[in-house]
Formats: sequence, C-alpha cells, structure tokens
Amino acid sequence: MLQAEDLMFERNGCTIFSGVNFHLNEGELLLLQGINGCGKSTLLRILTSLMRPHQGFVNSYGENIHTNRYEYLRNITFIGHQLALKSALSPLDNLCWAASSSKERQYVFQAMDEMGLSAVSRLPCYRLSAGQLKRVALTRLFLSNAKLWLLDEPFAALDFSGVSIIEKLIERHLSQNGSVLMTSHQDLSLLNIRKIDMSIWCR
Amino acid sequence: MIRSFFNLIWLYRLSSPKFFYRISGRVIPWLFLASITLLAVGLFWGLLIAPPDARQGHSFRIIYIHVPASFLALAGYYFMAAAGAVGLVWRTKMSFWFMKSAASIGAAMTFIALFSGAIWGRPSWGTYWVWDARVTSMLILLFLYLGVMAMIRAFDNSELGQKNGAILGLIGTVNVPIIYKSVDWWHTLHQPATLKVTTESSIHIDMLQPLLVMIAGFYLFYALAICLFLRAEILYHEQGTSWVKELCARRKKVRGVL
Amino acid sequence: MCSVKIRRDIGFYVYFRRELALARSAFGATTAPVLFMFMGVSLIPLALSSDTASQSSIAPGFVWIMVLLASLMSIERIFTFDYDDGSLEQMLISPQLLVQPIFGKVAAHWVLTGLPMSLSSPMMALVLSLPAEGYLPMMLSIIIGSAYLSLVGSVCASLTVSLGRGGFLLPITLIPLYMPIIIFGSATIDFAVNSMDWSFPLAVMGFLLCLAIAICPIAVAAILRSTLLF
Repeated sequence: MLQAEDLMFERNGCTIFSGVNFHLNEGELLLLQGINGCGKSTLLRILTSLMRPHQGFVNSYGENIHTNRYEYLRNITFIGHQLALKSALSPLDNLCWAASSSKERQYVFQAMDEMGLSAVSRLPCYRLSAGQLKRVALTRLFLSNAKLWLLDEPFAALDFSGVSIIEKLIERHLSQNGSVLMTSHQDLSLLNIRKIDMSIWCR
Repeated sequence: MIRSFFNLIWLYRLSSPKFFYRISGRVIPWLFLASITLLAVGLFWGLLIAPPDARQGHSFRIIYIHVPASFLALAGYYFMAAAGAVGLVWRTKMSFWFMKSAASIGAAMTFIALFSGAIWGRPSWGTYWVWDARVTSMLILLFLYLGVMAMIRAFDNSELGQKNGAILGLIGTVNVPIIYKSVDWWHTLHQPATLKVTTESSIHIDMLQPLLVMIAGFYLFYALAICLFLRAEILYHEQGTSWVKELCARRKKVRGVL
Repeated sequence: MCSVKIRRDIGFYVYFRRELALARSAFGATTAPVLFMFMGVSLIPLALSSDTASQSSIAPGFVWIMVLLASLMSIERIFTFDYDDGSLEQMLISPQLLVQPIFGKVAAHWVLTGLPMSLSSPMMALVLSLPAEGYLPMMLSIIIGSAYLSLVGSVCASLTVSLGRGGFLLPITLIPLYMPIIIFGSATIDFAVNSMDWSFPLAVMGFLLCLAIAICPIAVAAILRSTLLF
C-alpha cells in the first residue's frame, strides 16, 4: 500500500540519507532501526507528507501522496515525538478535540480505560508524568480508523504494561489488514516483523 | 522569438553561481569605471555648472543625490521582491542571494534618501524633519526593508530565513501601494496650512540633464554593488564546493608569488 | 478497537471552540488585553497632563495605539504554542483544507482581543474625556480594524513561528503593515468628534478587511506548510 522510491534528503547541504527504497503491504509491520541521527524521524515525517524529499517520491496505492493528499491523510495516523497535548486541558478533553465531537466522549473514555488511564482522565495534563502523557497520545490509536499508522518511538517512556498494551493494539490492527511503520530501539515481541536498518542508506 | 529564447538561456546560466562569479568578475571593472565616470561627471555638472534655483538658491543641488537615491530605494524594493518571488517559484539559490543583497543596498539607499532629504529640509522647510507624506512613506519603506533584512537573518536555517524573507517582501509589495495611499490621504488631512511643500512639476532642462546623468550613474553603481554583494554571498554559501576551493588555492599561490 | 468513527472533517468551528476553551483555562487570556489597554491609557494623564482638552484631542490616536499594541502582543501566541507541542503538525496532516482551522484560530483571536477591547473602549473614551459622538465610530472602527490586525498579524506570526516567543522580529515586521489601519482607525474617531462624515475611513477599513479575509488565511496555510518542511 505504501511505496518509497529512491528518497533522498539533505539538510543544510549535507545528505542525511539517499536511495531509500522500501514498500509496505497491508497487514505488515515495518520496523525502522538505526543509530541516532540517521534520519528515522525525518523519513517518518516525509511519509506523513509534512516534509518533502529532495529526490524520489512516496506512493500510496500507486498514487503520489502529494498529488492525492487529502485521500492519503485520511488513511494515516501519525504520532511523533511531540504529543500534541495541551497541558492545561485534561486528557479526556485533549482526546475529545482530536475526536472532535462530544457525543463520542464515552468512547474516548472507554479507550482511555483500555490504556489504563481512567484514573487520570480528568486531571489537567500538566500533572501527568511523561509516560502517562505518552499513553494519552497513544490512545489516539484506539480511536483511529486509519489504515496506516506511523509511529515515532512509540515505546519511549512507556513501562512494561504500556508496551504490551501497544503491542496488542498493533497486533489487532495488523490482523485487520492495517499496516504499521514505526521506529524503535526496542525489540518487539511480535512475530512477522520486517526490520530495516536505516544505516545502509545514510552517509 | 529566437532572441528571447537565447536571453532565457542566459538568465538560466546566470542562476548558476559559478558562471555568475566568472562573468561578474569580468564585468565589474567596466561597471566600476562607468559608474564612477557617470557619478563624477554628474556631480561636477550638477554642483558646479548647473544654474542655481530661482527660489532655493544652491541648496537645491542636493537633489542630485536625493532624487537618484529615492528612485533606487523604491525600485530596489521591487527588484528585491521580484527576486524573492523568482526564488520561491523556481527555487533558485541565486535569486535568494540577490534578494538578500538587494535588501541591504536598498535599505542603504532609503537611508541616503531620508538623510539627504533631512539636510535639504533644513534650508527649505526650516526644519530637518517634517511628517510629510513622502517622507513618511519613505520612512515606512525603510522599516519594510529592515523587516525583510531582519527576517532573512533571524533563522538558524538560512534557507527558511530566505524563504520567509521573500514572502515578507511580497507581502510588502501588496502593502506598499496601500500604505502610500493611506499616508497620502492622512497627509492631506493633517497638512498644516503654513507648510507648503515644494513640488515643482517641471524642472529646468539645464538642471534635468545632470540629474539624468546622476540617475544613470546611481543605477550602474547599484548594479556594481549588487555584483559585489552577490559574489560575497556566493563565496560564503559555496565555500564547500570544489571550484571555490580551487579559486582560493589559486589566490593563495598568486599571493605567495607576489 | 472500539469502532469509533472519528469525524475528521473538523474545520473552522472546532478550532474556534478549541481556542476559546484553551483561553478559558488560562487565566487572563480574555481580560489581559483589556487590562493592558486600561493601564496604558492611565499613563496618559501621568505622562502628559490632566488637562481634559488636550486629552480629548489625543484620545482617538492613543486608543488606537493601545489596540494595536495589545493585538501585537497577543498575536504571537496564535501559532507558537501549537508549534511547540506538536498540535500544529497534527493540524497540517489532518485531511482538511488548512484554511478552515486557520480561520477558526484567527477568529478566536479576534473574539478574545478585538471584541472585548471594542466593547470596553467607551470606558476608556470616558476617562480620556472623548466627546460622546466619538463612541459609536470608535467601537465600530475597533471591531473592524482589530479583525484586520488579527488577520495580517497571523501572517507574520506564521512566518516567525519557528523562532519561539519573545522576539522582536514580529513587531518589527508587523508595525509597518499595521500603519494603514491606525491611520484610518483614528481618522474615523477624529472625523466623528469633529462632526464630519466618518463613513469614508470606516468603509476603507472594511475594504481592507475584505482584502485581508481573502488573502491572509491562504497565505498563512502556505507559510505554515513550508515552515514545517524544515
């Protein structure tokens, strides 16, 4: 469903990576690995269409993601390093803005329960710990019905139970023919992982 | 048809830093000679030969600096904005560097125009500074220039700074007519009756000829300054490339021989 | 996975309400511009004179300067907070026309600054002893003019979004662009006080506002997209 062809990216005249080629099928998990600074986050942001590669292109179902932008964006959920949470609002409110309707408040609550957040759902976000905030952000995956998940270090700051919740969630998503592309330094306990080491592309 | 085609190719080749550097190196001595000659002739003619003004006496002679500088201040803004627009559309590095150079030179020209205007204002208006429509517009133009210059230099990522500077320049071009019109309107509203601004619509031919020479001289000087600024920008931004390294090595060798 | 159908066709309305909710949770977001305006106005008699005649002659201009400064100081935060916490990138990759949320945010900024300033301006006019004929034109001109300030301000705010808060660059680039509004805004009040026809400067402000509505959100959308590229 997703195909990257010959991507090249440079920053301030320095090539970060070049010749990036890969494809991602439905129901597949692709794990990007590599040393710090080899461009994992940048590649992920290119795949969200936030950034543009200096060469090459990304196709989704055979169509360039920039020409068919809104169709593509409807199909993805991206959770990056920045969690997009407002510290003054409660997790519930934050997620409801993402879900955009108060009618769905109970579903949001249910999703937070599954993430083990029901105790803190009404506290303001600035009182939550980094791991809890990460869980709040990842709750968006429960609420998402996008086919492609792009996750930048989803396990950073998470504890064991958090990791296992997310792994289960990913497994369920894959079994429903969804795809996941993520970066992580941790090894996953899931089967059927395709790993790509990014250092083969970076200079 | 064919000629314009060739012109386009020239423009395209000029957008290559290396080519521009080589060509400008050959052009600069001629530009320098021409502009210095024109400026010297114009100043000599205007300051010594042209007749004094009937009302203002000799003090009018400052127009030989003031008018060409204000011409270039205004025209320079549009040069700058146009270069920025070209850079935004075609993503050519050279046009952003042109924009950056034009911003600095244009701001300097605007300052010269304001400064010479203030000096001129003392004998003709009795005060250095008047909130006259044209003076105010010129001051706002200086602010716009300074805004663009600050924007270009504010970012760690120079590419982003140049892009944003270009956008700000374009916003300025939309705003320049609005600002001018509103300042004009504001001035007619507040104009004190005692202050008559001298706006001669006709200027005597003997005074006009040296003025035209000076304007031509200023334009050539502007082109010269742009070339010099651009060469500096090119060397700075292309310092990692092989041709600049070669150039530096050759310079060093020449200096060693001398 | 709970089978929630998330409505992602969120646009103007959602972002408008979101901004208002955020302002409610942070103390002073709504009252601060008005307070600022009042405190600024209280400087006039201290700095100049307590003479009512001279106060009323500078009142139109001073009220407008305070409106401009209040708008200038608050416009900075319109995108920087969202840029810092990642909400902005989520906004950019939500499948919608970007103009809608931007317009929602700008409208919220206006509701939080321009509108309260306009509604409270008669009190300021009172303490500056502005003649009563000037009240209605003043309120109208602030309503229209502050909307223009919010729109044009959002363009420059989006240009400087990656620089963070507290810089001088935003005021430096914005003040020249604000000049037409301050001319026509204070002229509207001036005309009314001197019992002239004040509809002309007000109409010009309306025209400028229409231009800004047409151009600014599109420009902001393009600028934000290109800024996030880096």
